[in-house]
Amino acid sequence: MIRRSILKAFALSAISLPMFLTTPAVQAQDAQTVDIGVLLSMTGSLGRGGNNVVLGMQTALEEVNALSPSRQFRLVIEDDESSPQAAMDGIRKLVDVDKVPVVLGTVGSATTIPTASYSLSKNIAHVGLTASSPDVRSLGKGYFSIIATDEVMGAALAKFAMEDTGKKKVGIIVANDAYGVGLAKRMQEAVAANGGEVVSEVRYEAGQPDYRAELQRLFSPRPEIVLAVSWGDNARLLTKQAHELGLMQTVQGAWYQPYPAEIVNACIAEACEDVKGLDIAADRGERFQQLRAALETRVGSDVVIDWFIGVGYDAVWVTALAVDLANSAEPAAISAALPKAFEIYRGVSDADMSVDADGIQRNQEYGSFVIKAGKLEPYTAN
Amino acid sequence: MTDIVLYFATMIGIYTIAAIGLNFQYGIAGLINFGVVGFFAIGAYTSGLLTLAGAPVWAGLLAGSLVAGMVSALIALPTQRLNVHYWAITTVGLAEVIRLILLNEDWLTRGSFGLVGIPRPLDAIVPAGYQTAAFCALVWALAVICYLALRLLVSSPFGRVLKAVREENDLALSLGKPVFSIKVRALAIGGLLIGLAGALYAHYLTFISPADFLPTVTIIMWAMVMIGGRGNLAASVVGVAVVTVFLNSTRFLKDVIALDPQMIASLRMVVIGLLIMAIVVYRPDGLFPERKKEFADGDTPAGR
Amino acid sequence: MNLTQILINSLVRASELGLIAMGVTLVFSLLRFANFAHGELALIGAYLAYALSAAGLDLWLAIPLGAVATGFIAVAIDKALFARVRTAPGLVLLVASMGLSLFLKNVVGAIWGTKSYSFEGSLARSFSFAGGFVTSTQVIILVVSVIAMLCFHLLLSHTRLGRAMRALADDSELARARGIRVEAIISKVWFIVGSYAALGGALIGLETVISLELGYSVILPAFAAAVLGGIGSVHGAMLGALIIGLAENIVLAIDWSFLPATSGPLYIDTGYKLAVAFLVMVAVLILRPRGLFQGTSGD
Repeated sequence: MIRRSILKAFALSAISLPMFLTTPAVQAQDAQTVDIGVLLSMTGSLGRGGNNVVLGMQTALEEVNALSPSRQFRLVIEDDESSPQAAMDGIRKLVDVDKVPVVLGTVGSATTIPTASYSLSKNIAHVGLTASSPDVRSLGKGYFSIIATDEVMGAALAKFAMEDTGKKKVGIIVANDAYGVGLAKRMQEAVAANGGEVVSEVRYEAGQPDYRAELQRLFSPRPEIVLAVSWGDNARLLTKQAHELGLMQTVQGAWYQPYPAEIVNACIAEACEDVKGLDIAADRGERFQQLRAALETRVGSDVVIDWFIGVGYDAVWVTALAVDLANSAEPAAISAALPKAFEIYRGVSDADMSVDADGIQRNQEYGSFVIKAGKLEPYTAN
Repeated sequence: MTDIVLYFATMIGIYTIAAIGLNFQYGIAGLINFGVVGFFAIGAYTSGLLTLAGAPVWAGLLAGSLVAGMVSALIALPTQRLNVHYWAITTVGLAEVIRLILLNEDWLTRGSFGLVGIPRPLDAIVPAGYQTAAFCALVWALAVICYLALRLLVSSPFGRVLKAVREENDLALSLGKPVFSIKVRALAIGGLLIGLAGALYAHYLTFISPADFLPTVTIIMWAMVMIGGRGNLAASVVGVAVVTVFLNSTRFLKDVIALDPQMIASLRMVVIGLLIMAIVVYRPDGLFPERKKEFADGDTPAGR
Repeated sequence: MNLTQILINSLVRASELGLIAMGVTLVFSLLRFANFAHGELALIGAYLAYALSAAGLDLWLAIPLGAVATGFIAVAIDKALFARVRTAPGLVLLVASMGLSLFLKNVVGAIWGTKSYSFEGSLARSFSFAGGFVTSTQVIILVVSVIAMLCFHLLLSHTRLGRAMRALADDSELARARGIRVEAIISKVWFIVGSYAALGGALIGLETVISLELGYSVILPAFAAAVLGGIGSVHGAMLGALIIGLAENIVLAIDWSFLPATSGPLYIDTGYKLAVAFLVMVAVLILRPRGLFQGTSGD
């Protein structure tokens, strides 16, 4: 008899997780092992994101396994090399060879769409991670997403920036990929809806060593607000060069960024001082603090929880919860239980994680943050 | 298990068609195409866009290979000096431009969002459960047709002129052969095949985006051709199989030994690079060199 | 459009690119092949300089040391690979250099991983200059590059090695007949082009970031500069680098609405930035197949 102990932890959600972690482990000898297929960019252009997702996943895995002595979970991780072709190789292995009952992945839209189509064609549920292209809606039954699609973040960030500054002239600079361009489209709509004007829209190619020409173009019509989609090294270079060219100073801190936790450690503190943005884990509540504590013992006290870590953590939790709910490791049963699991679960990336008919997050709450002296701090809009 | 075997068989078939096309350009005509991935992408997008707009798949495949062939001929324009190095540089740049067009012309290509839901041929007529096998059979049938057609071409008078051009450019020029137009035709024929392979790729995966067509694909196709052997069209399939198996071997190896994915990804490419260099130095004609007498010029009858 | 800023950016770009393009053209004129691995020499130079400075060495020691080390690596590469196929047809050398490029890039990736690095932890001091902004780093890059190019010019025109190199580029058979030790000269040339490319790579890294894409991102512009200047002409390559630098910065900054049949402001999409150098090169190849400056060889 397998005890559905993870479910219990959430059904009695008044009880906090640490209490369960202290319950003594029961007999583990006849434990059932459930494989969770994970397809991620461990290498290539999205490698940094993928590695953080794994960090979050492993943290969650330890927690659920401690809670559920009679059903142990195991991650089967495949690298998609940030390439759709390698992603297809990987999903075939997970589905056809490893025969996993559920797949979590991937971090990019270009790899998520073809691989999820394949999982679904084999009637295996596919939980998308940070792929935010609205096209994921077309995948159909069996696809679920941990994060909301572009329209939510794009609209929220534009509105936040305009309300915060009270200004109307907006410049947009985004990475030329599905993530950046998708957000740009939504930002444009939101700027117009809020009575503003997009004076320049610039795309840059991620991973290039020089963005001065792009920045010159962005700033030439003198925007009062900049909405920038960047991460890691790209963010570092953009803010650095904008600063060196004397352009950053012209917007006086009105530089807004989705998911600023992704850039805070990569940027030069002086160059990204006062950069603001929206990030997941709006309330920074109890679940977030638990994850923080777990990660501090795992990787050290200077850890910054970005959305990749949060999403990876939530993905494993919600999947384990679905298995527990279904009380079965059968693909169809897990798939059927996932909507319920999303509804019960209280996540790090969002407290309310319930999904709509397409399996996409119904709503997404963000918190506003500002970078001060190289640290991310909560921020209240004016 | 059958599924994954069929999957790799289909992929190998698709890349074999491209490799035969590339080997024709390099091995038979002596032209360097370092922008293979660009022509692959043209085939994929042409066919994908047309079929999404309602054209039948066969028309998409045809158009995909024709457009790729035409663009192949076009790259000859800036390099009329027939300098092999300029050809090479131009093809690299062209592949980059093609990728940027796919990425930036959203109105046509949907940019980085890629093409979703490209139809698969045969799905309508083949009963469920046999569709992947049917697609695999289609790919291999096309591969065999391409191979036979090129072999016929190589042993034709045109093929002999091509070889003359490859071996002794100046001599062929002095004999009054229209070297430039011969090279353009050879490029176009190779481009047809590479485009066809790209189109099949699009219809097999049913989703393509610019991320599918990065410069690494070019290098991998070159490794396939080099291993197979310069000018030996049939052996290209061996090169394709070896490289495909090698690139995927670490997926299965890592389940046995713990390996750092970052290190593995780099080392895989280190090995491919080393292999290309080793072949150039030690086996310049590949592991399976073209049998000289099969392509002997002049009046020696082809065959044994 | 800020003209001063465009000029500053172009000059800095040209001074980095010139050091790399120079080697491309030199290898081409002496060894008769387009070295697709040349960008990776710049990559190695940047990583070595970074590693040395991270180990505690002063930057102004780390960069030259990294360049010298890369020079030796280039000589070793020649001995291990290109020397073995010296007489092979051009297309074989091309394929070899493509394999080499993949090899070198991924060896660097295996050692340093795929994350990128920067030399400095703080912002470079920037000051306003005639309506544009220039950083102290950029001034240093310009000065270092101009000195390096001047040194090379003197070497080419005033030393025995320079004369031997020119003789070799003009006619290797004749040079051999005149008793020039060809292989020794070739080694010296590899050392020079290796260290110059490394210097160029380190300067790019100094100003921006050091990432695995550095090699690939400079190779097309470097080829374009070499072709523009007329393959074989070192001075032409330097001028070519200046033109590419200007083109890359101006094409995107220009409002093309002055062209007929346009309405409203018309800018070229910044997404096409990477194609600018290549398109300029193609235009030159069509219009003036021998390059803008009709380079012969090794002048």
